[in-house]
Amino acid sequence: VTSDGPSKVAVAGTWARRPEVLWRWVIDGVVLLLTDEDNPFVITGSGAVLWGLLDQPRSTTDVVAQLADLYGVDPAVVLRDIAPLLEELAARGGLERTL
Amino acid sequence: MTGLLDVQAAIASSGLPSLAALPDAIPDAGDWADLIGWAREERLIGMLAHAIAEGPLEVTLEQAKAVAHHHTEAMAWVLTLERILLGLAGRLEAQSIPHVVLKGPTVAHTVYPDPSMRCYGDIDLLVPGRDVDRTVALLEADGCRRPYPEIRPGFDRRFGKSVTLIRPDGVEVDLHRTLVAGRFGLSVGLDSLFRAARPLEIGGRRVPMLAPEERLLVACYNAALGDAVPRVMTLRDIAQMLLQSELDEGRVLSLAEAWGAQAVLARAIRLSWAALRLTSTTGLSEWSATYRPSRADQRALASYTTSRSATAQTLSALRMVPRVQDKVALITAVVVPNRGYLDRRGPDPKRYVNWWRRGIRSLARAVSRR
Repeated sequence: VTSDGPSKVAVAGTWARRPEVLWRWVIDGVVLLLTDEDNPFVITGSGAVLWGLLDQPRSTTDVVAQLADLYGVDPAVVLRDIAPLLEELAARGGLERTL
Repeated sequence: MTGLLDVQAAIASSGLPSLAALPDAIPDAGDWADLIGWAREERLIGMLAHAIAEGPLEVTLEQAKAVAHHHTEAMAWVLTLERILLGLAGRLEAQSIPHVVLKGPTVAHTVYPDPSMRCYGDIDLLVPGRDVDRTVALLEADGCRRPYPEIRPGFDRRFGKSVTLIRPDGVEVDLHRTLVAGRFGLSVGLDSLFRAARPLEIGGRRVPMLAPEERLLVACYNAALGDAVPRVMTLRDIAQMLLQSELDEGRVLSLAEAWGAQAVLARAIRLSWAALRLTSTTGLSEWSATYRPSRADQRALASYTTSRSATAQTLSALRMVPRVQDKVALITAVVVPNRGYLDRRGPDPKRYVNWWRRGIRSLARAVSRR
């Protein structure tokens, strides 16, 4: 992610939930307990919707298109908003990324 | 009967066909405080969240936020328990100790449309009686402590229902030898539980759990014999299993007959249907409505429910213990426990004498009634 927003290269690929992640839906989001972390944490809003979409492996393009359609937002804006979350979840072991 | 208010029954039966009705209006502050307190106490916050998320229960934004907060806390705890469970299962597997997971996680993941509907608070594992001592030693070596020592040497692996262990992080692990204390626990076909076990997938790993029919019977033992007033969550589990999960009702009846547990099964299902005011029926719910237990079963049930006497339960259990020396060992354990066991139960200096006198009096009363 650059200061101008995410580069398409940085968030390219296919994303899937890692099966070892423990998680539950709650009213306003999803609670996650990642493998290498001690404490559960919550993601809400579009982050939770993103987690829901990744019940099957999806490309960045597909995820962006689905969210843009759902929220009626420009795909470029969606990409800018979700890129940090995808990167962070992948870095922390919540998502698997295939290039 | 559990005496649930209509709104409580409606929440506990959320998603099931029930006569219980949710209020038309948003609950006022007093009613809401009572309701949320009750839902937390009964571990039904997931059902309350479900009733709000699915729409039938109208609440204010603040009320919804409060439920979301408590539900998130409950789910965070459940995830922590699941991680611990996976670690324990791996530990037992590494030591070649057969085990199956019981209760909370198994029903949450297998019979509810979403596991977040089902909260639970501890970990329950079943191990063979011959491995109880070894498993307790293993967990104690890992830092677990048992709040109460064994009542007599050898009791846990021969007659005990379960051993409670507390981990250093405060999580309670109940290590079960059988499914219920006393007579009904001694007639369970324990070996078959391990043979019929199925895999439960949690976090990409598989741990053994009971088959669906055995799982229903575990819930029935808990509901019919466990607490004086059955846990509403357990009654919901029973209804959920019967109404909305894959279950071979014929096999349930066969198992109940083989384990001498028809009276338990019938009582639990009747309690569930009455408390949740369910309108749908199944073959088993219709069977339970007409089932009449024998006099011996009525006496055995009463020792868990109306009289709740450990001595009466022991006497009832004696029928199920075939060898004379085992009968003697069972009576001895109950009437003459280890001093260490009594020391943990209170500071009374006469506790040992009092325990002995109480046990003998109770035994004499129970025998004279037979």
